[in-house]
Amino acid sequence: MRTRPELLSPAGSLDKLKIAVLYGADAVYCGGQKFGLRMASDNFTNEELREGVAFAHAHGSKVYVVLNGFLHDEDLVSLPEFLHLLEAIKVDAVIVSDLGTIETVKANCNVPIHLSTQASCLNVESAKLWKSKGAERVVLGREVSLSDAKEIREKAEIEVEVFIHGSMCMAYSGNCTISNYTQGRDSNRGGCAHSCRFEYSIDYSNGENSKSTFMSSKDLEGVALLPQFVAAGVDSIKVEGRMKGPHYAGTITKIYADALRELETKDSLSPESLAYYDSELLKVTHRDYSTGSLSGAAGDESVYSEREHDEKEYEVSGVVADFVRDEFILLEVRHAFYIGDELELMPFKGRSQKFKADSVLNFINETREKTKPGELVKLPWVPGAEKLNLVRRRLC
Amino acid sequence: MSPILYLTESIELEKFSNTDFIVEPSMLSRFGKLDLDKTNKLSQKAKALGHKVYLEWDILMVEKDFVQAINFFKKIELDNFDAIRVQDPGAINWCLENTNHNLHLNLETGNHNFPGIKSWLDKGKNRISRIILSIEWSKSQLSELLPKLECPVEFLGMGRILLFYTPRFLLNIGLSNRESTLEMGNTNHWLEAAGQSEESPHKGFPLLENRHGTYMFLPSDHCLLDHLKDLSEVGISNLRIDNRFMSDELLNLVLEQVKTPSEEGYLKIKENSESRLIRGFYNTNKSDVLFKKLKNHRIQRRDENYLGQVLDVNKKNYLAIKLKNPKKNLELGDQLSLQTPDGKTKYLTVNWLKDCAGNDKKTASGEDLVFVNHVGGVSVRASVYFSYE
Repeated sequence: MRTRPELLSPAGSLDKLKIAVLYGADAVYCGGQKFGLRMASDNFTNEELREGVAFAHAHGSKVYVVLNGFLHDEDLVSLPEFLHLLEAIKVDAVIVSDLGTIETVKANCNVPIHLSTQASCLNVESAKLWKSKGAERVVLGREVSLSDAKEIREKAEIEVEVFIHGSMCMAYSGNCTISNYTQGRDSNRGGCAHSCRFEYSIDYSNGENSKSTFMSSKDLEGVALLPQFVAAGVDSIKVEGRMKGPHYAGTITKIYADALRELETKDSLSPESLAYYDSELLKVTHRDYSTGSLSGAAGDESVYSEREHDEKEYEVSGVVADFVRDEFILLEVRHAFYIGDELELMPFKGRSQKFKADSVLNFINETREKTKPGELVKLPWVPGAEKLNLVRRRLC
Repeated sequence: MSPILYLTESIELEKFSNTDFIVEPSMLSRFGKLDLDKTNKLSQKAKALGHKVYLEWDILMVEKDFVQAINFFKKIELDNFDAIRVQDPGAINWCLENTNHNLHLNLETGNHNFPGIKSWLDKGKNRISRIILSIEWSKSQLSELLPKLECPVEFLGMGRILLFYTPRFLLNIGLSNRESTLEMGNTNHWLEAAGQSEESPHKGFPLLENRHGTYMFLPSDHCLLDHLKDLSEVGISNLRIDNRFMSDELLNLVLEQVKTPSEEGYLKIKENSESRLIRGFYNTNKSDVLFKKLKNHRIQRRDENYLGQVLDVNKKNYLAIKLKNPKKNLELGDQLSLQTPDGKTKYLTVNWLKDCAGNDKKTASGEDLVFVNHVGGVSVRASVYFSYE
């Protein structure tokens, strides 16, 4: 068996943490109520962190906690108390962006330090510097190619983590303050308003003009390059998306976990399995996909030329909340569906299983012709179903 | 405070005395236009006239660009320079290990606390002769920080506010006659535009694309030239004037104001500036106060009495509760309080308790999903707590 990279998935909430872990994440990253970059995400209370770490460890997965806002002095005041908690509950690492936070972590606990992509670590010398300051791993900037990642890892002798999937900042991470100045929300402390996704009219100095979403990046998708990640010795492949839903957390994790499993015994992914992974990736809400800078500097094809919209092939109908084997699954409905609809259950391993919702009952066995988000319904039993399996429905 | 200016080709050096100049080679600096020959000649001339001369190396670099930058750097006549201004941590590390020059650390991105800045100064030991701080530091934050630093501090006195920096070439895409990638990598590649969006109240964002990528600036310029006494008192030692996007006439007014500050002088600058002038975050930085409005804190789990969350509500029939506190059991007769997402609190005594198969239970624990008797006014996602009142 070959050495394979760790699969690191986003966990925007405790539910998503459990889903990511059960669908195959080797590690998850999540945030507390402060210090991170996703203040609009549910994030974790201290109790949820404790529970999340215990759950992940019980399933053999690690938990990294983000402290990756560009913290101001006043933010650092309450950080030591939080660090003591993280150490006590045995968090596996913290992800930090600036030297002040690194120094505060080192002074208050022995939790390993990973440098956030926010610090835009892009080259060997930079990695050496961060290593000298205490970072055990660097999450490389999304501008770094796989060949450069290999070089950084070898020459700086440090673990490297590389994004393989998800939304991308167009700017060098940490180098965008549009929200700060236009909306009064510090984008580097969790308040990013995604102004780069807006459509802009551009008047050129030569008199030409155009209208486009010129600062909006396509989403990163690197499953076809996974063998090169392995060959480069990348220590951790990272999926972006703490703000995204459970369907995303589960599906993306499962695809990359399956692909990594395949590469444990082979040098490359078969065309058939690659086609399957690609088709599965299309089922999750996404912008157009691009390989970004993984193979070389991102070019024109990496710019997303459409306004933000919610176009998706599949949506999550719900999450299996409970079941009575051979009788029914109890689904927590996330998106409405009708009796008679064809649904798919996504097991934690293996291909999805289609089934027809020809019986939809509530707890007191009343038939539900149309479900609504936020209700529990009994559906026909699907062999192999487990709690927290996702059930989805094709939309088009 | 003496001003620091950018040494552009149009600057008549003889008209200045004892001024600090930043020299920007195109290869190393974000907005530089100088090739190697001009870099060496201009810096030599400025040095010969008695000015302080600093080399700007502020681009961020992936490994390939870093190697090219070093190759270029080695051809520069470094004797002409009093210090090197660096921003990429890789460039900082390389300069510390491979040059003897003093460094000006550009800490404008991601450095907003004292322990971090101290750590940078420790890293550079005696080689760091100046640090450049972000204009996101407010006056009150500066007055707490600066007395603790034993290093001169530079701050932007007047100039454009950079909002966005990417290595991708984004402006070219919209042109009818596009330049080739090769041309975009040239010293002379320089494309300017103005942008606006219906989704933003701000109009006329200056946009620029050059060999290092694409930049967006705020339509308003940063200006603290009416706060010069404050800045000096708070401990700012060096005031940078970004004259690169400024007319000669305006620059003269600015330099006069720095030399002899007056309210009248500031008003003249305001009148002559093409952009609106703002103080940014200087008076106060409250860019985190809106965060608490970004999500509903009422439904967040809060304390040790937490039991779980309401997953389903069937009027007059039942509530479904997902237990989420492994340390607590739910039992028949327990009294619960339910905090709804819209802020209401409802109370419930558990009269019956069933599992999803409809079996009666006396107790539930761990991560069980249970059904209990209904209480009015409760909605899905309500938080459930034990009520000991």
